Amino acid sequence: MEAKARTAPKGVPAVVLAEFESAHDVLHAAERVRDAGYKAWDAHTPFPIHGMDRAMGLTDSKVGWIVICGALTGLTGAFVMMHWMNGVDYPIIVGDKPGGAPGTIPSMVPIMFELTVLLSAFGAVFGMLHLNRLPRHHHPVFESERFRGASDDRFFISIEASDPKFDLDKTVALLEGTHAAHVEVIEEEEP
Amino acid sequence: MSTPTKGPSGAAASDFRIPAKSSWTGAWRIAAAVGCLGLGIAAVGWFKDPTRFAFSYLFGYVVSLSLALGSLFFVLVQFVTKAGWGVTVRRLAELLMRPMLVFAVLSIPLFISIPRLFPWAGAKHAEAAESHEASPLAEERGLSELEPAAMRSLPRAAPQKLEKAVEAGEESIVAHKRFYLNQRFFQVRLVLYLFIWFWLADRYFGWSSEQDKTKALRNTASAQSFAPPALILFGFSLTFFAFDWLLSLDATWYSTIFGVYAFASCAMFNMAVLILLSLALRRSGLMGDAVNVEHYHDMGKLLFGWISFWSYVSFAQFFLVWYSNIPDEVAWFHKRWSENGGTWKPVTAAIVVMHFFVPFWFLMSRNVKRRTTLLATAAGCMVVMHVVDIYWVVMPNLGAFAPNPVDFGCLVGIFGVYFAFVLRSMEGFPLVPIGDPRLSRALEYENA
Repeated sequence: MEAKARTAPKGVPAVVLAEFESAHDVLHAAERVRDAGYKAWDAHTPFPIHGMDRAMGLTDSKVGWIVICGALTGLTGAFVMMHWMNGVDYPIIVGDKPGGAPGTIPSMVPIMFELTVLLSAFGAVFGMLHLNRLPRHHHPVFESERFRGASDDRFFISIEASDPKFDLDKTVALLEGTHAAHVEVIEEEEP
Repeated sequence: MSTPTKGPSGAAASDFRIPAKSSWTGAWRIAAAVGCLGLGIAAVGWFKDPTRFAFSYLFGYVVSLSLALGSLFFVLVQFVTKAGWGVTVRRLAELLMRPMLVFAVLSIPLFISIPRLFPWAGAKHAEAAESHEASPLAEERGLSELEPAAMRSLPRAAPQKLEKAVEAGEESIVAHKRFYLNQRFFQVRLVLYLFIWFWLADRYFGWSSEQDKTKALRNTASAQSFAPPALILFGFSLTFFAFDWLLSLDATWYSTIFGVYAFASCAMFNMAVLILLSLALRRSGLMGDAVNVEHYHDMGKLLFGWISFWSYVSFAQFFLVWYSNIPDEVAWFHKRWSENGGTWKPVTAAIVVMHFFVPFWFLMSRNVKRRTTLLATAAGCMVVMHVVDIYWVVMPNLGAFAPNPVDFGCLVGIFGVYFAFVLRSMEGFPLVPIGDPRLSRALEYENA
């Protein structure tokens, strides 16, 4: 197995990677790729670029819906828990206030607030990870030496071979026609 | 950092000044006329019932002042954070904070009214008598309904004794505060607050309007370096103003968070008015692209944030009082719930629902904040609710919930006069700080 892994990958193309020198270039290239109808592709930049969402044709993130589900779960969960514990299962009367709703709703608010925030935060973080398909151990773009610049001063667009519109020659031609400084094909072993 | 192709397109087309033929030119006369009419009604109120007038006037004054103070805060925060996005709306806030001197002039009736407003200065309100004697409303409903059984079985002389005991208790609480709550010191403090606010507003407006012509970077530099001490001054003066003029209406009550509550109201009110004002100006074509959907989205986020903050603070204030349930402390909320014939109950409930629940859920979505008609609806609701909130803080100290033309006259009168000055100075200055070094960044701003 080890010997096989060390042989130079001589398989099928996995990703076409185009490198750009400016935010301006990568933004316009993204518009071209979007208009060409690709779906399985991404832009890699060292900092957020205003307008990139639109240039990539991204719709609103779905993470908000996950967050609100978490929020409502926390809110109702905390309420039901405290009403059950202090009002039904073992009623406690403190300061002449009968346990449970509606008499002690104010005392439940801090816990309801905290659990709402906690589950919203979980929803935001884990929902984001899920929607981004993370964690992920490896991606073919990391085979490229030049790709290190994506965290420094270079801008990239990668188009996956799994895209239905992917055609090696046409895709490379498309990227080469967008002021790309460099276009490379990253290959992967045949599975 | 953005697309270099997109230039300041709006700036090229106009210099952001109100043209002579615009309907905004001369609009200050309408505001001034409405204001004078309102002050006329208020003057009638003064002769009919000076105590009622004092409370109505304080209500109108605080509502109007809170807009100017919220705007001052917005401007200071823009500089302290070196914000780029808000430069295009900063001038509107600067114009709103500019007529600070008007409040100094309008504060004269307040100085005169101190003995009528504050129990610690000798004021005796109908409410104080009402709660222990039979109020007309209590008689209508039948005394037995309001009075606990134990009270009814007491001989009739007992309530008077009780009243005396309550008065003595209140007097002993207030006695500890005499070093602070005495008329001389009280008046000096108001002068000091007004001076601080005028001085800050004047400095910041001066720097910014001078920069329109000179485009000097040093104006931005001085505004930035002065912003942190200015914010500290602002925070202390606003907190103590709220303690003095709102909290001490009931001098037996304690709430250390009250200043924060007042501050949250100011900031929220300013944001709602900024949204409405910039939308109105844009509709008249005076703002060009300077304030676009990205800026509205951000102002919507801030409005949402201030609503949440206000709710957090006001709930915290209520929660601690509710939990400990000590007579001294609950009195304040009692006046706004079951006392005063329960007339304030619907107002309290309306504030909980319309100042928090409804706008909170309504403004949560990104799409609502980016649709200007929906955002304007929310902002309009918050303007109304802020007025109701201040009314709810001031008026229950006088007695039952009974809106009066004098309340309306004072609100419209003071706000109208104040806004006439705002509209007048709008004609003299560009509506966007055209000399600000961060203007191009604000024009190109986008929510990532």
